[in-house]
Amino acid sequence: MTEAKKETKKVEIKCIRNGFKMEDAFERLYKRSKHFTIEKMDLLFYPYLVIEYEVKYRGKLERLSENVLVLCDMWRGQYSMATTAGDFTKVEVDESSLIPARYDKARAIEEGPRTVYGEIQAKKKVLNIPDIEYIYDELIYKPFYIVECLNDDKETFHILFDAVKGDFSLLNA
Amino acid sequence: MIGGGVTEYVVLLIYLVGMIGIGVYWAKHSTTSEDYLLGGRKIGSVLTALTLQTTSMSGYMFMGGPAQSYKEGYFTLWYAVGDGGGAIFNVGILGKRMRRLSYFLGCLSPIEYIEKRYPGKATRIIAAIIAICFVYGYVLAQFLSAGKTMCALLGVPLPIAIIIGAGVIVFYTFAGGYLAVAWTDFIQGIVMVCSMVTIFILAWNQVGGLTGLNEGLRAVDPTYVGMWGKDNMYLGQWGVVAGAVGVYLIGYMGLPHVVIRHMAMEKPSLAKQTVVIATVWNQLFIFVPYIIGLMGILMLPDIADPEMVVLTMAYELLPGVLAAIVLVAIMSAIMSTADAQLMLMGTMLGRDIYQRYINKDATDKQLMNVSRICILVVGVVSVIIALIQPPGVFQLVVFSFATLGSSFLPSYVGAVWTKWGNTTGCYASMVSGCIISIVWEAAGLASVTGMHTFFVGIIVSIAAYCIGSAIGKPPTEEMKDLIDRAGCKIKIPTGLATANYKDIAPETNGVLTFLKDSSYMEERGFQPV
Repeated sequence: MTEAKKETKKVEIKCIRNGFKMEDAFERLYKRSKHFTIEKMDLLFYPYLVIEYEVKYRGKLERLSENVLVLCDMWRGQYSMATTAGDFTKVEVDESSLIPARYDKARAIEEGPRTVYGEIQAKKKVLNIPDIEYIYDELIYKPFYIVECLNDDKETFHILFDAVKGDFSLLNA
Repeated sequence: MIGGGVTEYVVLLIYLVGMIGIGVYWAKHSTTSEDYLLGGRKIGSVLTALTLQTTSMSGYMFMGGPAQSYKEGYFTLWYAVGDGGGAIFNVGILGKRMRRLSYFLGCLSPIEYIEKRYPGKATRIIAAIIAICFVYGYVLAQFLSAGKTMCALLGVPLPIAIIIGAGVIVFYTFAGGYLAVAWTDFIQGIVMVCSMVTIFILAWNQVGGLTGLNEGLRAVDPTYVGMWGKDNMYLGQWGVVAGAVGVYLIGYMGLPHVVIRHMAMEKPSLAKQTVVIATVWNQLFIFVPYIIGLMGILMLPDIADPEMVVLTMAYELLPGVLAAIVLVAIMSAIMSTADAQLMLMGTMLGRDIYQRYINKDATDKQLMNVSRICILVVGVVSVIIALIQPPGVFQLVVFSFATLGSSFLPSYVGAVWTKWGNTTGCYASMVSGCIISIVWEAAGLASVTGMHTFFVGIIVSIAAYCIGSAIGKPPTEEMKDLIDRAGCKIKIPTGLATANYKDIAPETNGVLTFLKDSSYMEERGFQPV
């Protein structure tokens, strides 16, 4: 197995802490099958915007307020709620290993409350429209490994390996 | 009443208790919603092939099919020709690609699959309404068939027969979910084929083989051995012949309770083995009932009810216990279809209605429990309707089959074979296919025009899919990539291919589009994706 390398401009990013080193990913994949070989592996960072909002709404008896986190996929423009801020670390990486945050940040902040409304209405059964106030945002990255493999017939296939949780998915099969 | 002795009751009781036992066993092994609804996507090729085929073949093959060939002669083999090739078409066209695409899209139900392939606010609502209404019609018909069969063969009063037959199906489906359904289907498939082939071999010897059969039929009425039916009733009607072949050749690809079998396959590469096993099973099973019907013309010339030809022959040719097993085989054919439809009702109501519209954050456990409750409720309501105001079984099955097939077939096939098929095409196809089938049936146009409801429905539905897709917004580049990947032919090692981490499916799609648009792979010396 070779680690693919190409030197480019270095940038510092805030990244979710990498729970699986290359060796761990390697071991986890080989545990699933021995009928393939890993040829190359390299890191790729997926962009998310973490947006914090303060939500004020009327409960049954009193006014309530809480802070919530919305995660916006900055490549695809899709939103989800985050339960915790996560365990972050600052790392210096090749710029070319970052998937660009192509989604408009201002739009993400503006549209994030829709996800919060949906969540609050579904979970807390609040019928009145809550006040949602933007607090802050931060661009973070989630690390993945791109893994190039050969099967027994020497055909190439690729795996996307989640370096945080250890999940993986076939990329082109 | 043909049976009704102690032997029949004992054999049937053993069979029903066995089915309940399978339900109880798998109830302990279904721990997640994916286990319960799709067997954890771990169903191998033999099980997939048999569950697919037994689901497709209802009690019609033991009663309606032989009766038809008893009345119409060799003409009915056109239906068998279509049915015999149905497995090759169904698994060959949809199997592997649908398994892959449903996995990429992270779907557990065939309605969710339609929604994710054709994203739009109304997709799931339209698809769910059509599927729930007409699969329900099918469930009701199968419950009635089970009751009527037990009533006719054992002399059990109809209400009690319906409660026993439907009760067992509801119980093992409710308890064990998809795995119980697949394993009971497997056993039922073996019982069905063994019974049918045994009767066939014994009767074949008695009529003197193919020569004896043909000469005998020719002596009774030469038109029996012709291709246009008795008394040449369909002479020159190629449209009827095309309909007879086509209905079963392609029709199953539009039935949600059949195509969900593709989604549950352990891995896409199993599709090839599944085709082979399903086709072998088909050739053993499908032609035989029709030929038994033909042999019945010679062996049982005065039978009062041609639907009883297989069973009467079993009692004439086989010792008591084996004849009773044939009775069980008929129940198996009915139950293997009913359980799949009931399971699908639970999946759709749980996943497509409850989780989608009522509780978006439903936990895995909640989803599984809600699906179970829905199966129970649907089963109980169906039994009540069947007891209070039973509709005609045959009409219900034909109508449900035609409407489901017309509504969904273009969308299921187009989903994996076209990159231009889009949401507008899907809406147009589902709505037009459903409406034309209802209108055609309600107005009785099938008998007036000589064109089968399914035949008209499918033509209109395909045309609507093409026109709608030409007008509507094309699928996203991401979706086109997924469709390309669904057709990929690389052999993936088992352990990797069965890894099922749906949580990263959205990111996988995003990464894939990035890798295709960027020079990331090239710069690092990777092969292109």
